[in-house]
Amino acid sequence: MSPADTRPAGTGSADSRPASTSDGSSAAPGSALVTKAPPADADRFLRRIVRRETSAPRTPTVVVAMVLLLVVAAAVGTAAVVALLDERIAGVDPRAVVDAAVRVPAGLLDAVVVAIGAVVALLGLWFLLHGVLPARRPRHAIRSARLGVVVDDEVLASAAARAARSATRLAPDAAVGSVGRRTLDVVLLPASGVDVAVVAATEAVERELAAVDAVPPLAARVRVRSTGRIDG
Amino acid sequence: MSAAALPGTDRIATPALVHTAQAVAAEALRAPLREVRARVVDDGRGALAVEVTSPLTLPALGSHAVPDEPVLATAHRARAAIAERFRTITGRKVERVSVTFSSAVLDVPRRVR
Repeated sequence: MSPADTRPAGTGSADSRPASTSDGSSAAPGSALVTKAPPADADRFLRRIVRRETSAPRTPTVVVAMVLLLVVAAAVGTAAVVALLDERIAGVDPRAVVDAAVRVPAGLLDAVVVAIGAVVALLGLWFLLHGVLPARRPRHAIRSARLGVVVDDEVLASAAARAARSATRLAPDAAVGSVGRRTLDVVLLPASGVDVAVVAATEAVERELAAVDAVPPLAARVRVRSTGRIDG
Repeated sequence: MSAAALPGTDRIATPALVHTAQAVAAEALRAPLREVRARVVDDGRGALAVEVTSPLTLPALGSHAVPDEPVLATAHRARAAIAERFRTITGRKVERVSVTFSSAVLDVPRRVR
C-alpha cells in the first residue's frame, strides 16, 4: 500500500472506506480484508489486547487463592484418610477437631475468636478489593487505524512537558509533567524574574494532546510554580 | 529570524547574577566594586530580590563635595537604579532591593594627571 492509500484511513474517515472496499471485496479477498479492517478501536481482538496491556492481571491473587484452597483440600483429604484408618495425627483425633470446630465459639477465648475473625475478614477484604478494583496500569491507549498502541504515562508526561518547554523556551528541567487517568498536569519552574508565556505553553500542550489522542481522554492543565529558581 | 528559531536554551547561573548585581550596585552607590557584596534570592513570588551590602562612600570633609541631602535619600534612589539596570542587563525582573551600609570609605578623588 502506498502512503497515499493509508492516509485517509489514518484520519478515520468512515465515508471513504466503504466505497473502496465494495469494489475490492469480490475481486481479491486478501486485499479486501486489509482494506476493510475497521479502525483498531472497533476491533474486538485489538480492544481485548489493549485492555490486557492497560490493566494489571489478577493472576497473583488467583494463585494465592488457589494455593490456599489446595492447602485446605490437602488437609481435609489427609484428615479423612487418617480418620478412615482410625489413627491419630500427633495424638489428636481429626474427628475431635471437627467436633470442636462445629461448636466453635463455645470452647474458645474471646480474644482468639476476635483474632481469627479479624484475619479472615482482612483476607476476604483483600480478595474482594483485588477482584473489584480496576487494577489499571499507568498506561494509555492511542487511537490508531492499523495497530493497538499502548503508551506508558511517563512518555505522555514527558511529551507534554517538552511541548510546554519548547513553547516557552525554558530549560530542559524546568517543566515537569505528570499524567493521571484523565488529567495531565504540567508544572513550569521558570527562573526568578522571568515571565512565562503560560497561554502559549497551554496551547502547545493541548496541541500535543490532540495529536496524541490518548483513549481515556486527557485534560491538560498547565501551572507555573509561584516561586522561581535563581538560575534557570 | 533564524537565530530565534534555533533550538536550545539560555540560562544565567547564580554567580553571574551575583557579580552583575555587585557591579551594578557599585556603580549606583559609587562604592568600590571589591567591597560590595550582593545576594540574589527569589522573593517568593517569582521575582528576584537583591540584597546589597556595601560601604558608604563619604567625601573628604572640607572638599566642597559634601552632599546636600541625607545618605538615605541617595540610597533610596540608588535602589531603583540598581533594579532598573539589573533588569536591563539580565532581563530578570527585580522586585526588591535592600541596601545595607556596613562600613564607610573615603571617596578620594582621583588625581588628575
